[in-house]
Amino acid sequence: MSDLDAKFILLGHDSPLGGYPAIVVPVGSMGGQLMVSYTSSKGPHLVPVPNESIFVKHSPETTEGLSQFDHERHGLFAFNAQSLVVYSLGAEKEFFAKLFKTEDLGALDPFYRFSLARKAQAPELVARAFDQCVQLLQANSPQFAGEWIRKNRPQLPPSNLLYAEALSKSPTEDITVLLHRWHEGDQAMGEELFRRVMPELQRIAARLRGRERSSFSLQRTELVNEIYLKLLDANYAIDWQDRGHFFAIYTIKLRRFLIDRARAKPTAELLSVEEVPEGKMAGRNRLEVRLAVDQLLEQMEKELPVTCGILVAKTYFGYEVKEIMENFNLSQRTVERHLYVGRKWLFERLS
Amino acid sequence: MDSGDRLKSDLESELDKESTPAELPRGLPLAHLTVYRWIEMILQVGRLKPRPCKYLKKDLLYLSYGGVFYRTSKLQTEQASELPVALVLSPTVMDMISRLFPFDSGAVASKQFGPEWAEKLTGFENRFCINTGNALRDARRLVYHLFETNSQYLRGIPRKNTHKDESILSLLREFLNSNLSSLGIDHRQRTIEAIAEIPINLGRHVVWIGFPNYDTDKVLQGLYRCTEPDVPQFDTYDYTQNFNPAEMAKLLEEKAYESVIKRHTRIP
Repeated sequence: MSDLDAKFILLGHDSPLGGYPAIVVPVGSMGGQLMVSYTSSKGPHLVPVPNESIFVKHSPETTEGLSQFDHERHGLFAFNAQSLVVYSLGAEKEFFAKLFKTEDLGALDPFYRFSLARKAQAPELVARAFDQCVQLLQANSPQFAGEWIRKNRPQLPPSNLLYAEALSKSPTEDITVLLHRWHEGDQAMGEELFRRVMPELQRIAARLRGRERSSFSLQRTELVNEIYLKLLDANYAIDWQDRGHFFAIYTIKLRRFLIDRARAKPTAELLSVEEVPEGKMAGRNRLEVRLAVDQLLEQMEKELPVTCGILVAKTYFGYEVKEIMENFNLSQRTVERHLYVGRKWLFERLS
Repeated sequence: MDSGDRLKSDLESELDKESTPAELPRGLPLAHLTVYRWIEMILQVGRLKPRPCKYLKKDLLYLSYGGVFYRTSKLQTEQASELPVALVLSPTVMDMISRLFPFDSGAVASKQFGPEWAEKLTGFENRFCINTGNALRDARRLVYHLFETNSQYLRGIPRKNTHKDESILSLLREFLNSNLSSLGIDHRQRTIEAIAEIPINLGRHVVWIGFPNYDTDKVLQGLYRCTEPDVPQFDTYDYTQNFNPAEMAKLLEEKAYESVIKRHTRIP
């Protein structure tokens, strides 16, 4: 086979979605064999297909316009059968972001628009497309709307979503009731819940900013966003019991987030071991004790979630017993009992 | 010809001789892989129809037992490219299955497992086929004798071939334990294939669908028309690159497992 034969020659494309505008699959010939160009985790590659396969052949004008196409570096986006543009593989984010600034995507299916906007990491476009998709689902297939929302909700606090204002007008209800209804799939109750706990989340953020070391820079918005996401995740898996359970879980989630941050910055000193009695250090240095405590808390979280949340609130976030009583809706005696049990559980295992 | 008067395949005869415990692994759901271009039509008629099979020369509907295991970069249509859609059907659909194979018969027929295994598995249509009137029981028997448990089957871990002999089960275990990764072989080597010769109604059976996030409201609307009042589960994937369909199928396998298959493995 000569070098000329071995070259991939673009002949046309196929739109596996069956419509436009869309990403399309380049179809070409190589040494007399029809090939399609795919992208995978290993990069671009050609796959032979039967020579009689059906695809859209490019007109001479289209072919000329795509003369720079190189299957190893490029993908194709088609507005219609003969109007296509080349984009660089691996630079889809930038390509879609630019594409959305043009007026050429009016006919785009809203769900596909949502996918492409997510790829472009364009929060406003994502939120707008999300709203449109939700409206379509509620109109045409309401049985599935809640599930689709749960799986596709843009990972942003509701203040960034266009419909946040409407949702914030939900009826006020006790947090435990809100939790149960949220867990059952009522997204509006989740929004209301978040609105209710926001002041407390902001207080925590402010408190942490006061405590943080210079190497650990934490933005309030970032923290609040993160907690919101953690709560969303938790809602799918946890059958909430009451307000105390909710605060325990978010305290634990927040601690885990902060520990991950601290691990990413080895100089950060977030994990306090001041409370660990000297005798329990057992010849280990502070870092070793921190890691041991960290592992044990993960274990405690599974066995005694509320106790763990209270201990974390006190030890890591500097809550006073009175504040824990308010947030967890517990008596002073009960909070103190949880702290006693938690410390005992932890120190016994540290030995 | 029913199973009473027809000639049994080698595999059927051997399975009958093996001692089988009273408690077999639980029945698993079945998966069918189709293409996005067809989904509107499938949901419109509300059923999956057998299609011409070039190897067995009949109209057949192929499904995989326990998960979305089918992989190919060229899905079986005339188009140059396709996006996969996966449907998972409840184990009750096994009533419609008339034939089982302990591997992907298409991959054997097209010699994808290499020349050595093409030779050893020659005549697979008759030797390894289970023509069955009780596919659920027979699929569970295959899982037990070849993998022992559902968990091992789903992870592709076959029983060791400890007693090598001339038997068909020994040959099958040797095949299942062979490392064919150099041939780019995937889970199909260790898949139980289920074949129906009659259409399968979605309404009674579909429990999950996975498809590209495109016209999603209409796909789900069509699905609900078939399954009402049941609301199946679903997942979508984003099509933001000219992805290889085989990779998309792998993604669907994982999503189906997480959404519906996994819980079947937990039933005691």
